[in-house]
Amino acid sequence: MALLEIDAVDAFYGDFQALFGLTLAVDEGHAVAVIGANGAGKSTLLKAVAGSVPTRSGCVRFDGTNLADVLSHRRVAAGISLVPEGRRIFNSLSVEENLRVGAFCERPGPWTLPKVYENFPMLERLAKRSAAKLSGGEQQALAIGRALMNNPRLLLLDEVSLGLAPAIVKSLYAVLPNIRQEGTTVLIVEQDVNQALAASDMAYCLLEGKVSLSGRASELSRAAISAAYFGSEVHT
Amino acid sequence: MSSTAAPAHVVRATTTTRILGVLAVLVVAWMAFLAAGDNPATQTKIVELCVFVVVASMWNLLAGYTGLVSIGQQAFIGLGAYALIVFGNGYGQDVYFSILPAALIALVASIPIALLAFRLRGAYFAIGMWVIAEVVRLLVKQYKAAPIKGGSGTSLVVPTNLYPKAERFQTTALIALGLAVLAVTVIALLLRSRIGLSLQAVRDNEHGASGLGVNVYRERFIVFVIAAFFTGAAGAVWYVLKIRIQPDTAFGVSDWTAPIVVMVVLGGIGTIEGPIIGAALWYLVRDYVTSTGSAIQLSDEWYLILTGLLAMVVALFFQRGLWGALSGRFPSLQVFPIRRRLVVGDEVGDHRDRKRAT
Amino acid sequence: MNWIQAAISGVLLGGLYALYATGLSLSFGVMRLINLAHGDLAVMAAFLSSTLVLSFGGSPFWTILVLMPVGFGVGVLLQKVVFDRLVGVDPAFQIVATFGLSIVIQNALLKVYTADRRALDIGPLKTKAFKIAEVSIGLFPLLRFVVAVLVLVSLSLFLGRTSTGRAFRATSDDPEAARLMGINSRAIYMIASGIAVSTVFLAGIFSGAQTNFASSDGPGLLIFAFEAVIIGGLGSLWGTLAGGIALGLAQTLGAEQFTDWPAQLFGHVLFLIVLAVRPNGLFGRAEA
Repeated sequence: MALLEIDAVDAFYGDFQALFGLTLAVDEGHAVAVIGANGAGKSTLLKAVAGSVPTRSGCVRFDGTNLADVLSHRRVAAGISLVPEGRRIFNSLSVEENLRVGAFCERPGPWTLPKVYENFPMLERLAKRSAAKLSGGEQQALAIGRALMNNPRLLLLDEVSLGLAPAIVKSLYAVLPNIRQEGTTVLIVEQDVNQALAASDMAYCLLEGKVSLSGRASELSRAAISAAYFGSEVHT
Repeated sequence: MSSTAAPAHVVRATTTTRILGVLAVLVVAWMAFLAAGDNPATQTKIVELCVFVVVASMWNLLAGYTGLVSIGQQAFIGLGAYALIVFGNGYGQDVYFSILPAALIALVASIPIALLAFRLRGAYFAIGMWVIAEVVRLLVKQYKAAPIKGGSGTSLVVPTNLYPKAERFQTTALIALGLAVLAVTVIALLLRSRIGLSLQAVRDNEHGASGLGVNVYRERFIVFVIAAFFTGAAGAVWYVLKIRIQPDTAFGVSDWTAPIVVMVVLGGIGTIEGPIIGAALWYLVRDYVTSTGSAIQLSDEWYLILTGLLAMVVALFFQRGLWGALSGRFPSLQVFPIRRRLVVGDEVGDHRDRKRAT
Repeated sequence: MNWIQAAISGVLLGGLYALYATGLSLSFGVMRLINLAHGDLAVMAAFLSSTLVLSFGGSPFWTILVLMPVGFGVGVLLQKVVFDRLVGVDPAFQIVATFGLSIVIQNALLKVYTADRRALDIGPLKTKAFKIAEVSIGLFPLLRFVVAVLVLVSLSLFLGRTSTGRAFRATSDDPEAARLMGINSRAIYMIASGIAVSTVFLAGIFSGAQTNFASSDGPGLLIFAFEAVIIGGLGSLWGTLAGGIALGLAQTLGAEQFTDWPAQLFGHVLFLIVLAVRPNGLFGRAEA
């Protein structure tokens, strides 16, 4: 049984339907990439899993449990952590306080303050600094560290690379193997296709709220991805 | 008129609007007839209703269209009223010719008030305005010399040789009715103007509209000043009829802003029709439940408790108000065609009303 | 010497104002909500305390131990029934709904307790004072001030040092992101309203022990609380204490100089001056 099963889900962003009967599955311990153009429904998918966007029909199951009636803060306690688009750092808290808020549910596990600092050494130096004063890359590191403090079974990463220099993106993704080593399952939403495929086992490509392509990340051809990304009529 | 040439039209007036417009004119004509009559009790009711229509409409213009929710509009009631006292009792001017200058005093006072209060947002603006009204009230109370006579209050002197009592009631009722019609017309025209369109754009999408270069501050300022003018005029008209004035009631939040807020929310905030309907309904109900001999005669406390509960229930569960709910169900229902509706094809039967989109 | 005397009473009075303002500041900070019935709740507490004393005897002080938990419950209940629906909506509806609540409480108090003024009797403590040089310091105002500071210190420690306190600040910054940390924002709001009402209950009882009170006093108290918050600057409890003290000083020193003017006018004037010169308050952070 997959850790996360998304079964024929419709989801709306306001009046706008973003997901159309979307179905996908994420096995425990895997890293799965979800790629697709702007507006394909990638972020909505993650929000539907985290509970900040409601689903209208279909079913989201986590570890076999239907999440339909589980409020978003309860999903965090169940082990789903989202690193949201735009980082959403708590600006009036210090770096260390941000991390401690991440551990609000007190889920047991390997991720502790020292371990986060070990993986993101720059955060330790900035521990007492106001989080509002961090650079974009530092904030993204903090957002990931904050989510890890929950010791999630499933980590959802939304557009980690957005607005960051390639070198910084590379250093953030370098931590991913350490995260997976602890058994954490990762669902990655990315516009940077190369980065996403390199970091994952499986990949799904979304087009207009539906899965247009899926397969092992290493086996997908560039042509197939490009067709699935923009819609096949571009190439016909 | 060929509809194939222009499949999409911008529609303002519809048949329903016309019918409602005729009805509105008839109601005003009937009230004018009653105002010109010789029943002081009816004339008093007309003045009270019209004053509240003016003040509620102005409060709604601020709260419903510009986001300026004020709990301090009683400042302008009191300023208009006391300016009238100063012109009438202090300088011996004709009371009716003093209404306009009294309203102008309220307008002038609103300029520094806006400069201060606009530094606050949302609920803080609301209470900040209240503090400002309190300051004005305390200052007026402190002025113990004639013609204001401090906290104990005074009475407007209306020479009975010029205006016998019957004539005063009649004239005041006609002026109040005229003021209400003028105020609502000004609001309708204002909302159709560029200022009104920017304000509604801002209301519907603050970030978007400021991105389009709409200078929100200036529009809000203009609307605030206009509201002060009409609120001041309404205060002056009220006291031409009531004669007796005291700072605690002229600047009283529970005398003015509390009922106004309930009227507007009940009728429908952010619509022109809402405050008028709210004020009329309020008057009918209040008359019924507080007059001796009616089936349900309520004490003042119970009446106010129910008022407060009503305000809560409407604000929590029925935010569109009566008119908002009605016009939501029947979109063509509007007395004042300020909304432009885009109609594609032949949805609307009345071709004569169409204005082509350019 | 009169000036020093007035200044000391102003500072001590300021502690009470800060206590009034604490709940207002907390509710606004955490959920951007202003409760216009805040002052009426204080008056309600004073009346409830007088009823308890009349029924069971003793000093009003024991009623604090009963009424502060009751206030917490009232806050939680109000949050569930009323305020929850007002978080994040147009301020117009917040204002109308809580204004309605204020009218309801005022007139219910008027109905139950009539329009007469009442006082809480704390016996000889009310007039006890000690002298330093020529200046006399009232024991009760001093006690009240110390309690107010203790409340602010413990609240500040709660917000700064505890996990729930961090959750408060996180929710204040970004409620949606806080939910993504597993924080139940509705529970946080309930606690915030509970604390807000229980502190304003305490303030109401303290103030009723010093001066008499009537059902219509609530709006005046709300204005003082609001002025203390704005003068001190939003978002800082110490700012609120400083704002309360500044307000108290303005009132007592103003009344000392202009004896036939109402004291609250000088508080209003200070508020307007602060608004004109430093709109973010004396200690406020500039909002981005």
